[in-house]
Amino acid sequence: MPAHRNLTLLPAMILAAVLGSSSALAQTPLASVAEWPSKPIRLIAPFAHGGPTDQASRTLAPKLAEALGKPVFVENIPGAGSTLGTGRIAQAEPDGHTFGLGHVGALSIAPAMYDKLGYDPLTSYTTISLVCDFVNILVVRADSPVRSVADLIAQARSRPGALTYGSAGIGSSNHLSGELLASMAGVKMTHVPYKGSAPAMVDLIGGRLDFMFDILLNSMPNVQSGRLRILGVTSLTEIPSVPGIPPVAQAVPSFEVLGWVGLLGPAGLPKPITDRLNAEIARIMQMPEIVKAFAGMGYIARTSTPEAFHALIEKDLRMWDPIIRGAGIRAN
Amino acid sequence: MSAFDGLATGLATALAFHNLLFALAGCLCGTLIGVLPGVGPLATMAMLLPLTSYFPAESALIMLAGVYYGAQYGGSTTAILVNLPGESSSAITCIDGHQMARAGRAGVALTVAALASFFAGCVATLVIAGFADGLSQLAVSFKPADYFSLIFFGLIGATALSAGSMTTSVAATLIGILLGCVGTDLYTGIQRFTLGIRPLAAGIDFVCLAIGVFGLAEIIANLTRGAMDQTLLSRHVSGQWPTAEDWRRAWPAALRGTAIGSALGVLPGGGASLGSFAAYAVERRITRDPSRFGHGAVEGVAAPEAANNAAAQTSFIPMLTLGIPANAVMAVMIGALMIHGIVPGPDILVKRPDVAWGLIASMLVGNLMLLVINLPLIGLWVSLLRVPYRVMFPAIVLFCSIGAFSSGYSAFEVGLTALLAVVGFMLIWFGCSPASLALGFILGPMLEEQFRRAMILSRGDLSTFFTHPVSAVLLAASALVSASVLLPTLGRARREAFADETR
Repeated sequence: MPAHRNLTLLPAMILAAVLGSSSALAQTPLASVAEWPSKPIRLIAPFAHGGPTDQASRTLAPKLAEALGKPVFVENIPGAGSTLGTGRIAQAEPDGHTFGLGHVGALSIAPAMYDKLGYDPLTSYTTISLVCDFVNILVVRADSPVRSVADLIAQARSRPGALTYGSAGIGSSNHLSGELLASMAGVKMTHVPYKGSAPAMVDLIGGRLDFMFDILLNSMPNVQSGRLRILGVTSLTEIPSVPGIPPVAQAVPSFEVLGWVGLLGPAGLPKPITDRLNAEIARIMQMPEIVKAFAGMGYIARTSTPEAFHALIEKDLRMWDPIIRGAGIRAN
Repeated sequence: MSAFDGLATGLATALAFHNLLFALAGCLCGTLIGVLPGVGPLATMAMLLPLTSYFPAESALIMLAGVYYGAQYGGSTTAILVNLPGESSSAITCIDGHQMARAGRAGVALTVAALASFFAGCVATLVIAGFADGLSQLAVSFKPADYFSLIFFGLIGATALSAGSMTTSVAATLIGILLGCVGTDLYTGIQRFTLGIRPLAAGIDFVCLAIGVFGLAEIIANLTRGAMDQTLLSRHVSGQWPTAEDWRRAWPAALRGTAIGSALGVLPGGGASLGSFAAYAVERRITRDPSRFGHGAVEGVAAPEAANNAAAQTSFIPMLTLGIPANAVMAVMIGALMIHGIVPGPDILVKRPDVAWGLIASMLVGNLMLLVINLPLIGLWVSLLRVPYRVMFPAIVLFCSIGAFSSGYSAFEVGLTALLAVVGFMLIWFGCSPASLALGFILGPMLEEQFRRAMILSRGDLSTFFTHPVSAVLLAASALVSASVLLPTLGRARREAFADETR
């Protein structure tokens, strides 16, 4: 709601002009902490309409609005692998009225892929709290001769480059999971990118791809109908939503791909605001209906301290950097 | 459960009073956003999504579906009236639809569009009810090589057979393909033709292209022709009802369009927009007098409109049977089901027949509703054309700007649209067809995507395009079409081309 923001700023601007001083504007962030939030809040979702992450932000917004007593608007700014919208969060005024959802792709993966990102994942933001995380699962066609992850690795070793896997595009979590597997197991496999994971899933079911990493949500309908079979999960341990499925790490020790989404604001957000939001998120993410809604989207509701969120961004940056550069994945 | 039992169950759900209201709300909302350029069904549905958690699952789906096909309906209205396609699938309707409007036959064009859409919608619904399972098999077995050949056929067919000179239509198509290349390469992540401008990394939005090249360029052209003091209608305005001659031409075209759209809509790789192009190309191919096309042929409205509505409907099949969204709109529908804890997939028809069949039956109801909403509105739309152009065009420019802005929520898109308007005007100036440009823009990137995927999967073996039967047949058909145009003895189209050039 940019127009609205300008309107509400107007009196302050006139006041500043009358007083002949611009310092009134500069002080706005600090002066307004006491009565924060004083106007509607903008929640930037750096994804297109409709995807699970968009749905997550739209599930969260009304709860935040209820807690803070002001409307919360979701603004979708998709593009350039989510880096466009994520950059917009960094550029916002740190007055506590613009936040956004940052995810592993834009914060910990994109920095190794793009030359000019327009933001620094470690210094451009004030981290507030993690919101959820998610695992990928490794699926094959139900009639595939491959019975286990170890089988898959053995096949890839005997026929370098012959096995194909689909993804939602260069640098997507399905692609990077594949690259990580290949790199950790020391094998070669062929990556086939698609525009989104749905068309890739069609080719997997149609028998034109050998396997695929994907989020639970996308694969479950076809696992339940017996078209696909799960070989492993990308977390280090089994997860409750798919009991009995071993982690990929059983075959490739310490293999782990964990996606996450968290709430953050621009750098320099006043501490009282960060603390208040962190407390609200911690409360909201425990509500049974929110946990259920997130589970429906394939996410596990999760919260953290601002510091732990920051540390996670840093840890994953360090993990993905060599994989991405090693595979020569660029987006420039 | 047989298809008829299913439909009966579904009708009981869809005809419940509250569900009728949901269908009406969805259809009205969809028609409205379809008429406004830039505000697509996707954004609207995503915004409605959180609201739907308060309704029963079937009501939520019925309303969202209403928005979706309502938008398909509404999109053709602006395409015909002011040459502004609201959706990529209605770009082709501009060609003959707008010419009909200029010739004072806007009412006929809108009526034909509405009836063709209604007919196609009903048939496609029955197709879903009867053949969903078999068709989902088609979707799964369609290979990248097949997609490539299909798109290639569409591209060749529509270019070779488009109105006017061959050279200019090929040129416009190629420019469209180049514009479509702008953005991040899917296979390498390398940015092409983005000039280092970050918002261009995602490519040029079709909404910006359509608004600039069709809507705004048309306005500039009209103004240079001194349209300032006139209305869009220079000639006598005929009535709203098609003549007997119109009927005779339109109904077989609508029938063919329905068949083509129903088949292509099932394919998850962008079948809906392909459907209207293919239907138009087929009409031009089989008509005895192709010269009428581009100058207000009624078949040129009936066929693509029927095709895009049928495709919009049958694109529900992969979602209902495989749980795979054919496009982003379907992903939102799946989201709506997930909110209610229903996982779409092969067993949804068995486990929740009320939801699945309710949705299918609501399509029949919704299509009837759209007809009831739209037919009386036609008179109103046509009377808009009587507004003096000096009042009309600033209003269109305003709506275009809003549409462009809302495609990316930044002023950049508005600037880009203005630039594309200049490109569009130059095309008109040089006698190129903006529709050919749109064709290249939409199909070019799809062609490349499928070609490279087929090549990766075949390990670089070109013969993959000839060894798969579907692909081979389509390539042979493309060769035939090219030959019939290029060989002067067979080339009726070519003589016209020369006639056109010397005109």
